[in-house]
Amino acid sequence: MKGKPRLERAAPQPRAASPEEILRAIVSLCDADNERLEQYAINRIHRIGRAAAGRNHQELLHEALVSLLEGPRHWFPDNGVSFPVCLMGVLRSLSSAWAGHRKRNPGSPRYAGLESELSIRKDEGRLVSPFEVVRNESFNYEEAAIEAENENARQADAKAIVDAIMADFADDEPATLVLLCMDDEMDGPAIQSALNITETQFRTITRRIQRRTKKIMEAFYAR
Amino acid sequence: MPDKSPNEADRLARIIDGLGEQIRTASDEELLDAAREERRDVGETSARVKGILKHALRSHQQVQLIAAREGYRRDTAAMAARSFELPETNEERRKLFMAAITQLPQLQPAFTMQNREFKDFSDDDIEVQLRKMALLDLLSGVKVPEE
Repeated sequence: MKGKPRLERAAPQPRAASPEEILRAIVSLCDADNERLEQYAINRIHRIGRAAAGRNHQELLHEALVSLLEGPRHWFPDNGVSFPVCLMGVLRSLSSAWAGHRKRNPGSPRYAGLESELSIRKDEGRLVSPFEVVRNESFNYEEAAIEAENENARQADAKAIVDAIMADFADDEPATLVLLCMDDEMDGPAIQSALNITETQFRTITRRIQRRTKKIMEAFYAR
Repeated sequence: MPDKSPNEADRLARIIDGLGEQIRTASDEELLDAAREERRDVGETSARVKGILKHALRSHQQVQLIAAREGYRRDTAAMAARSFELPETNEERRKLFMAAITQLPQLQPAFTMQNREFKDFSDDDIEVQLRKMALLDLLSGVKVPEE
């Protein structure tokens, strides 16, 4: 039987936090929150590598908060998501956006390393600078070549870092196994179950990996 | 187990994402222990992170303030640049203002009518408000009642 058509009531718009609420949330962050935010920001900067274009984790934190205030990202305090959790989400999406920007703009001078590294030789033997290529907006041979160069450099960076990490843990079997599981996209509980280790053992191993990996990456990008 | 991709960048990304997940889900105590193991001063980290976030908030508020001031400057410049035919005396202007408020009820919330007596408005306030109304072309239909 057909009844009266039901009017769907639009869900009320969630309320975005005011600057005053955000300030109160910042003031009330505890030491562990701050530690988590900073370590996560460092992790995200390492994750995007050269797409950070010289920006560090402190700039990522700064930009994340600005993006919460100006949009498009917002913190909805009534939705039950804490401020640090929301900010970590913004750190993640903002750093991914930086990486995406680099991918879409391979020829941008912002991402150029040494100009000489990215210069390419045209068929007639003339050396073409990436900055010369940027002036031509249409997608062309030079742009494709720069993109390929960038991708090769990205793969080479990644290989060097992964090799360094694996070499650093060559004598540490539990850590090597955890790294291999992470490489297989297994999450914490799956790794513990696969390796038959307790959560405490797992956390101790990942802490060790965390500490040494951070050093390896910092040394790599400081070159 | 999924097939391993030969892509080295993806491989590194998976490891870093795995480590990031541990940071996200670690207990507070564990994070603080890790900081101590690395001989980092957690108080210093707190001050630094809060400082960055507060600085970002202040910069944002400053930008907003500058934008508001610029908007106000533009509005007053626009008002000054246009000539309005307002009544000549303060008394006549006040009458026009009262007539506008009465005849244009949509303006009442803007003047917080419930909480404020219009007699508290200075002559200058009245003139500024009339200029704003004129700028929005709201006064053309307003009739001042005959005494």
